Amino acid sequence: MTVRHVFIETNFLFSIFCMPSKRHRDALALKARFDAREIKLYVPYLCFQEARNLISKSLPGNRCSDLLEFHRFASMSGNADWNFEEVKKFLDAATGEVNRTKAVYKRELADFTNVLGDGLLHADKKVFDFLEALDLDGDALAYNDKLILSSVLVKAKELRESGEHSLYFVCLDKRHLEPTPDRPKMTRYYNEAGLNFVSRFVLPDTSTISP
Amino acid sequence: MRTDLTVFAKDFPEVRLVVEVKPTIAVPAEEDTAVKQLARYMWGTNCHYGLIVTPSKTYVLRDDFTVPGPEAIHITDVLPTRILFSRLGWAYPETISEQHLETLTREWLESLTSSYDAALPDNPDVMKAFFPDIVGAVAEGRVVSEAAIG
Repeated sequence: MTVRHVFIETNFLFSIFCMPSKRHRDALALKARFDAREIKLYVPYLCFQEARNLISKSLPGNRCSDLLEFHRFASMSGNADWNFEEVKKFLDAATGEVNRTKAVYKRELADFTNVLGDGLLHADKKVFDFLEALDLDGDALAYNDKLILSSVLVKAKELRESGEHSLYFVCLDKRHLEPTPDRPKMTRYYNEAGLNFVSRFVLPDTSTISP
Repeated sequence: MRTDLTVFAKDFPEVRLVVEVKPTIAVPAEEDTAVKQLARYMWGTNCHYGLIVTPSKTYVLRDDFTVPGPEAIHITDVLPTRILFSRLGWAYPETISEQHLETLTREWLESLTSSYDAALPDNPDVMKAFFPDIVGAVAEGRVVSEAAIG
């Protein structure tokens, strides 16, 4: 079976390492395919730094305080006809999820860099040379996005030159990285690298892909 | 397939609301292919709210969290699209193309993410369907066209 090579970025890392109840099931399914060695994953190192910041910002600071305030208000008004001990157990568990995520997400991300092995893409001279020469279609891509795109395209091209053809860049919510007819320059880069853009965390059937 | 419109959280890649624009929906609506497909997508992306907008009616889908899987997602409200969009500031046309409806829907969603007060008509059925959870989920969100879904 041909191994599919899948490039992922910050939003994928966020989707599998944010609070467990918020995780993206399609992303978890893709990660399970990586764990089962059905696919190989590649991630620019910069994405780990971005994901750490995003997850940190996403952890709710007042997850249950509104509800506790409401309970006290209802209780003082004589309208709290629920079992507060049971409710408190539930709210404590919900708060606990935030605390546990805060305690482990950095380590989980770091562990994942180790599991990736050579799938972790460091920005070396080749990447920076590519970035320097990157000529896009007038879209104002942020510097981080340019660096991520360059890391992905350089590695994809290497893989293609070594005979690999099942190459995918899986991006959720990053439409500005998508090659489209009104972005001929970006599309050319993707074509040269043999890279297929996928705007969700589900790989398409190979029969629907036209590299 | 592609969802016609997706509302993402302001700062995170969380899917908060998915919206499909369709010419019609089969009867019963729960059996319609588009409804089932949207429910499956909502489950896969851990998104709890969806809309299917047709020229005459808008179907509100919600996750009731009772079971794991898309079976927990149901149509909870059906609203006249004409009433839902009545705050857009111009008369809702008698006949409308799918493309035009998608444009109106996007305009309305952008208004909803900025201010539900400005977007939602003062109608008890609309308020019941949207307030407070959908309104809260999409507040300050980013409306994106044509996010690909399977």
